[in-house]
Amino acid sequence: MSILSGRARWAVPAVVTATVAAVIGTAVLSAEAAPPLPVRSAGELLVGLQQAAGTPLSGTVVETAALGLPALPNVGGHGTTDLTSLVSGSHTLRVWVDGPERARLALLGTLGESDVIHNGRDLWMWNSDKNVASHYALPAGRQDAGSGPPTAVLPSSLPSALPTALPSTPQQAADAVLKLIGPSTTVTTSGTATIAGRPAYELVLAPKDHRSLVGEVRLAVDAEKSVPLRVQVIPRGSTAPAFEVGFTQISFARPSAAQFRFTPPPGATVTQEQLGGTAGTPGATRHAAPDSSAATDPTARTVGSGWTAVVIGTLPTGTESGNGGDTLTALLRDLPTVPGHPGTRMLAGTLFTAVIDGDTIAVGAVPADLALAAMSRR
Amino acid sequence: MSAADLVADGVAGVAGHAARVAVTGRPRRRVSTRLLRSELGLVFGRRRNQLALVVLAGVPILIGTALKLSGPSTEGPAFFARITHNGAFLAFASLVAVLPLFLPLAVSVVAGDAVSGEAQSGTLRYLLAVPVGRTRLLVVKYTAIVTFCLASTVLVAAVGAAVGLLLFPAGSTTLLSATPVSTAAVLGRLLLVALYVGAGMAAVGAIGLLVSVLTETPVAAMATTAGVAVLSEVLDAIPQLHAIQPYLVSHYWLQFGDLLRDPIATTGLMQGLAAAAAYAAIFGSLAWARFGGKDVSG
Repeated sequence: MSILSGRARWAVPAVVTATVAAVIGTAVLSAEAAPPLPVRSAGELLVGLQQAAGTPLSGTVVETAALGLPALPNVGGHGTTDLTSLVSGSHTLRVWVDGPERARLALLGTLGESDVIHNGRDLWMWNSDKNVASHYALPAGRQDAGSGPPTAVLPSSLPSALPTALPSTPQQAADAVLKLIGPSTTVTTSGTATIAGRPAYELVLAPKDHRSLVGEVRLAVDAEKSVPLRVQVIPRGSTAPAFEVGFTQISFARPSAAQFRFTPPPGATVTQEQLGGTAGTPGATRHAAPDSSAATDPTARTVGSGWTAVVIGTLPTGTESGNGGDTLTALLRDLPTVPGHPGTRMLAGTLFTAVIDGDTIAVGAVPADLALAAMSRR
Repeated sequence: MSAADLVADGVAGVAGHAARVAVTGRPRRRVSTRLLRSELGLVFGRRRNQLALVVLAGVPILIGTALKLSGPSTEGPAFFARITHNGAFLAFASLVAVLPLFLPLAVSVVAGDAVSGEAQSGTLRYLLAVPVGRTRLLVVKYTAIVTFCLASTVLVAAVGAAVGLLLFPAGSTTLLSATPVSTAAVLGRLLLVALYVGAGMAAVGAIGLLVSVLTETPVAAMATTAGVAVLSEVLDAIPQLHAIQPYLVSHYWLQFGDLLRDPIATTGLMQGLAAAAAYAAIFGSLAWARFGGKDVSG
């Protein structure tokens, strides 16, 4: 009744299993392929990056952060739609960009999503789990389109309590990194890579100051469109990235205009927010610099410069609406104290150190002694 | 249902198989649909399977009634807040409710019983005596399991939509991306969701088929299959195990949320379907290898 008999039959499931394993393996390995590309200098790539800002595109982005932080209560990994959750775990986002004035970012959670929609002077934040839509009116006549590419006005410019200024798209990450280029950085090219099926050049930015916790930043630039496809931040003394944000799929077709239209759904809670200020403080509107969360805090100062800069700021009081104030309080209580510095607590990650004394916080990509020194100079 | 009933069921079914096949003589294509129809009659005619379907269909009725009595609320699991705006969302909420346990359990019962049930009641011998190859028999068994998977998800979806639209208005609603859509469009997406979840359950069915071939005790096969499904869900919930999670059978089940975005996010769904297909291929071929070389004494 059968062509195969006895032990020979078991070859069939073996072959099936091997085929499945081979398909999975190929999918993993093909991401590693380094395509041959004509040589381009780091300078050429940097110019291309600046000119490519606002290139119409849509795609899927995966962000992974392993910052060595303690497990935060309520700061979930995959599946949450809370934008503050980006500080730990792996997340999938969808991105649409059409010029400097229109961009949409969607953080995909299990059975929910958080969106940030920028269309001209309107900026909407939408959370399907909480059924809340927040509207921010952007100031008229913003002329920073050249210096601040469109996605730079996305979440990091919004008021928030936790260190949510983590970039959520490769463009945002690239902008943050390129700001640091100067005499303090060595910029080199390092071969090619294939990201989301597209050939790309890799730029390597390394701090000259060896006290920085950042070993190097690798930036993959699309060979044809000069758009940043992936950014990896590798801690000093490590080879695995502690932070990575990159496209897994990208298309350069212009997204449909409907993608940037947002109408609050019926039944949703709609709030009007002030950009750069705490909600509910009319008359005290501050206009934030596009992508520095420190600038939203008027008391923030910077000690040092470049890769070893330490930002000193004031912690939110923990009463801010829905921005994780409770999480923050709970987190601070559990942090270890610093020997020899009574009352000072420290949070040491793979890429940054935060020192907290009362409601003052000093954060930088520096070892503990530098952060403590900056704190004592406040 | 007593053991005697079960045996009677099985005997009647096999007698049906044998009689029908015997009449037409050499198996042809038409015979194969007859064998399948007979197997489907066996699966859907069994009282415990019917009871499982009734329980599954009861979930949307229960949720809908509770929500109607308690009034609109913004609290609760996924989709609950949307139900009072558009009743069709009751179907999605119900699918989320049955997905962790009820659905895999029902599928495990059907799949675990597929071959071991016949072996235990002694009907497998007669079934193999009819001029139908073991391969075809196994294909027919698995087709019936997959049919049951799809029928159960479509049933929950259909009852959910019907009850939802009966109790709640069919007002304007939005997808997860806040894109406004018509009720007809929601129902279209609902069908896709039911089919996707059904595909995920078919992977559990393949595991069940293998276990069912390995043992002659149907209860053991059912319990093992359900245990594997629940174990997979537990492992999937442990953050430290994220390295193995993409290979778990339950990992992509809730990915159906991607069908409710605008536009549909296909990446995760395709991975989910590919994973289900891989499970079906691996466990199906293992079951085939074991069943083909098995001595049937029972």
